[in-house]
Amino acid sequence: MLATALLVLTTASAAPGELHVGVAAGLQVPAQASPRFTWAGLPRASWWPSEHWGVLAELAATPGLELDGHAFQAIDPRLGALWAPWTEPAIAPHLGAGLGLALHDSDLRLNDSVPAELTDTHLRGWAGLGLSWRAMEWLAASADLRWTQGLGAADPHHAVTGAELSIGLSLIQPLGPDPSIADEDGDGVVDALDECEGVVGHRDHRGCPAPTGIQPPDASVWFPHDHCEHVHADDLDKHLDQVEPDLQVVVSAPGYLPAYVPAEKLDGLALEPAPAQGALVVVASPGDRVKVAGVEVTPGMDGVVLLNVPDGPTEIEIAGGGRETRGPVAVAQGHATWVRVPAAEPQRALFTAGSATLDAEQSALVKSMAGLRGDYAYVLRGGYSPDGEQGANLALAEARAKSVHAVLVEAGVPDELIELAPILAPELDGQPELQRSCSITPIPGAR
Amino acid sequence: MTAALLLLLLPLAQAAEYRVVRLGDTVETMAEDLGDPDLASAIRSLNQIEPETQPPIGALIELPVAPNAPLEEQQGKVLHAQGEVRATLPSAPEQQAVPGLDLPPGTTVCTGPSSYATLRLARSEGSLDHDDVNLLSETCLTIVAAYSRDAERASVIRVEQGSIAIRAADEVEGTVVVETDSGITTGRGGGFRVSREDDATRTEALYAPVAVLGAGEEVAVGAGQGSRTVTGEAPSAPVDLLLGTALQRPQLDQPLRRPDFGWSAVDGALGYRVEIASSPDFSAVVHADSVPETNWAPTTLFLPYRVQGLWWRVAAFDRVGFLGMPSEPRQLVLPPGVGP
Repeated sequence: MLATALLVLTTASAAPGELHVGVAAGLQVPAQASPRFTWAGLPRASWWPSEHWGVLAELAATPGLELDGHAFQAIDPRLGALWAPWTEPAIAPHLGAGLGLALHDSDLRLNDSVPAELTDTHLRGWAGLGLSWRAMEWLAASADLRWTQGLGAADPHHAVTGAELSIGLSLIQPLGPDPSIADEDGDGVVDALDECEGVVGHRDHRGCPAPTGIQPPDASVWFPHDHCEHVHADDLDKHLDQVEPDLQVVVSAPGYLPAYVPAEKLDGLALEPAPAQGALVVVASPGDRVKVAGVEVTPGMDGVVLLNVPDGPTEIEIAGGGRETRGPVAVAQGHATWVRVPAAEPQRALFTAGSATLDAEQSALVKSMAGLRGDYAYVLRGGYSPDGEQGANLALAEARAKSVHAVLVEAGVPDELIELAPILAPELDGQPELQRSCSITPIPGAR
Repeated sequence: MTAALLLLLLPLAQAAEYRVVRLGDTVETMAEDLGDPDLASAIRSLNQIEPETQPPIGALIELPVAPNAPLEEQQGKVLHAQGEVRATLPSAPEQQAVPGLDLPPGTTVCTGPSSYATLRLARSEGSLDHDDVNLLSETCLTIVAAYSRDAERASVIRVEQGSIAIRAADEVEGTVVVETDSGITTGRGGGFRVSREDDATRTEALYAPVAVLGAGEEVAVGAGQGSRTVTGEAPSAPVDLLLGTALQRPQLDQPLRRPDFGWSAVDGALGYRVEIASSPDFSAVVHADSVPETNWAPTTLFLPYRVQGLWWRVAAFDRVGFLGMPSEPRQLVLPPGVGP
């Protein structure tokens, strides 16, 4: 009867620094014989020095068996390496390979050429794959499938070559410090939070050495009147003795926000990097619609838009009251740019003598004012030239205002936002071409 | 070897002392003032003055330095630079003038359009007292000399173009001499302006008297007065400068959402000059503009906000171009969202 030793791979989804210790049982399927069930209680351990690699040591043993009047026992110590591609999931696969000794002590004689009471020792290699399930923080189960290969056995029946299938249970014990609180450099900042691992730093500076002087090193310090000195950060020592500790100084460096600090707090000061942006203040009128970089922004009640935008040119568009303004504005880092938009001006729709009908050009002008209304109302005031009879002129002026009114309404301006004001008396020194008109005055702040 | 080199270099580092020839000065009296009448010949030699002749009033004379009273030659320094400010140091190519740059005698500093700079001149030994000069836009000046002897200090600058202002000294007064093609302005304690015009130089004494010299004549200009020196002519008689105006808007704590500035009218004003600075003593001007009315609503305004603060003031100028006394400065309040 061939005795087989069941090999057990005792791994589980593991974390660095963990030791897994356990037992397993299983089935061996020798290539030279029929599959046989057996069991084995094995001390075994695997240690994971890194996230993906582990070292395996195990001792497989088949205790004495009585079979057909013969006793058989085997001890099979093994070493191997394990590799797990993933460690995070609770169930994770692994691969393994290694080498061991097969120590056989048997009075079982299967072959006449082999002396009885044979004691045989030979090498046995193995390779396989498995699956580990970390059931609890301290317990893992595993299932493994391996191929074993006997190497140089005196009795071919001892050179057990074939497949092994096993299941096992392992207790998990962390070895060494908990990685989550490990502090390799001993500076009081755990490695996971230490920005300067391996350097004895300061806990107030994330494990890095406390800075001396000013960061960045090319900063300069302005000691205000009556010192009136720009001092490079490297030359601070000889100046600090000459100033009061509470003197407010200004520390600046290209690309950093300036800091206003008392002189006594200069040492160890770290400037904050400056965002590459500036402020843009668009000074429009109430009722204007404002776009910055193509995005419509809501002005304040006073028509002012204030926002921070990236350094460089930006496009602004202002529409309202029948006028439209657009163009690029330069915004510089650390600077505010005010841009004043001229207020909307009254415009005139012109008519020919004796007519209250808008021609195509003037009608387009009025429609344009409707389209660029923004949040403005319009006040219309018809006009006339002094030529002709007064009564007819007054009627003509009124008709001109109504003509403009109609076009505005047709173009979408709500009727309640159009006011017909008293007729515009002609200016004595005015040009008749301009007097035969209807003035359109934008009134800001109407929706 | 090193000591020998130092000995060779020492004479080169020796500062030159300058003096403006005033009414009553002769080579001999200047030598006596130096404590050694025998130095008269050295003065003549240094300045190529023929025997039996005297330098004209207003001449800038180099004096020999007495061995027992050595001078400390000093370097100027850039304290503030806004916009395009260039410096040409002796025997060096032109470079950008950044705050902290040392300016040895012979350095020329120029500001471009809408650019401003403040330079530190001489500093008294063992104290913080010093003289500053503000360069307005499109101004060029050369530092001729800056030196001190104990608590005394003096600076000599030459203005090629543009306008400068010498900051008023706080405590110990230094002497500042401003030379132009038209003449010389010299004063103790600062607090005066000098502006180059086409063929003349305009001096305005704000807080201390100055002397204006040209064409062999000297005119005393009191605080609050001005004088113009046409090249080749004597300085004009002093005229009173216009008084300061009162700032009205924006009000003291009103955030600057709309740049709309207003102030009271000054009698006799042809226009007004508005200045904005990032220091209350206006040693760091960041914007200046001239307007004809008592209000200013710029179409665009560009101001730094990462600064100690912003202040503005207004001075009126009269029909002949003299810029009057500035108003009391008022701090500008940036609207929330602008600045740190």
